[in-house]
Amino acid sequence: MRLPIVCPSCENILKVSQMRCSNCDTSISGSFDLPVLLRLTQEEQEFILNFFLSSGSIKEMARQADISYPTMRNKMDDLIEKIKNLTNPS
Amino acid sequence: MKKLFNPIAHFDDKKLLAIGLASVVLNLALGYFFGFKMISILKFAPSGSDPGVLAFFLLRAYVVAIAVLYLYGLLINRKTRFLDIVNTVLIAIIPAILVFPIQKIPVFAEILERILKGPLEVSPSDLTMLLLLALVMLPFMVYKIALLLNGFKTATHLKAWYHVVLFFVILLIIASFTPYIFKL
Repeated sequence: MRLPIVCPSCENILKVSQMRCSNCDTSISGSFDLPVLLRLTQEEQEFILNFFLSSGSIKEMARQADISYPTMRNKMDDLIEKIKNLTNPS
Repeated sequence: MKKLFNPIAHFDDKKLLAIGLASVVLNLALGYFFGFKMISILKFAPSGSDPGVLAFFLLRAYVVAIAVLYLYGLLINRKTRFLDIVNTVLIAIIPAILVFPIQKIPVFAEILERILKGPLEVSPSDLTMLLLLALVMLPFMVYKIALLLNGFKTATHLKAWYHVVLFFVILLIIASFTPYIFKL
């Protein structure tokens, strides 16, 4: 099941309000921000995972996706920009 | 279709370079055979048959275009790769090379020769044929510009509209000033 990260009503980023231990049923309530990686779309998370699994080679990722190196690098640059904005919102 | 209009975004850079370099040889060969020389990346002109002169004009046009577009690319995005700009220019010229034989179809060649001799004595039928020639050549020219723009956009990750406007201004500058650089 996919973790929802955006409010279906107002499209704001959701927060974690409760966590529960599946072993002893202890639960913690509060208001926690989602980690940056979880605030990315499924596709973007897969992109980062693929980058890691390709040993950080954009060239290898481009070969696997059957697109050119500059296109893959541009996707990477867009994602870097998005993560910068998420971590340091202006 | 996307691949056809932006090969730089979809194909391996080494394969594109091989095709691009082959197109330079084809450009020289067809230019020699059909009597055209490359004045700039946007302009070809009738020429004599000296292969040395043809090669000089050809290399000058390619080198000036690649150098200027690469410098502009670096201004937009410092990660711009020289190879991607080289591939963009080499691949974009291919449609222009394919136009050479069309202009040498006897009926068009005769009209062009007549016009060159006496531009003021063009008959209505010549004018109609000339218009037909322009209509045949137009898609090739549009395709060439599309390849140049799309390739440059991919190579530099260009997004801003004013960078696109400046790209066309720079193309016109390249076309205007290439003939005055490194004269024979």
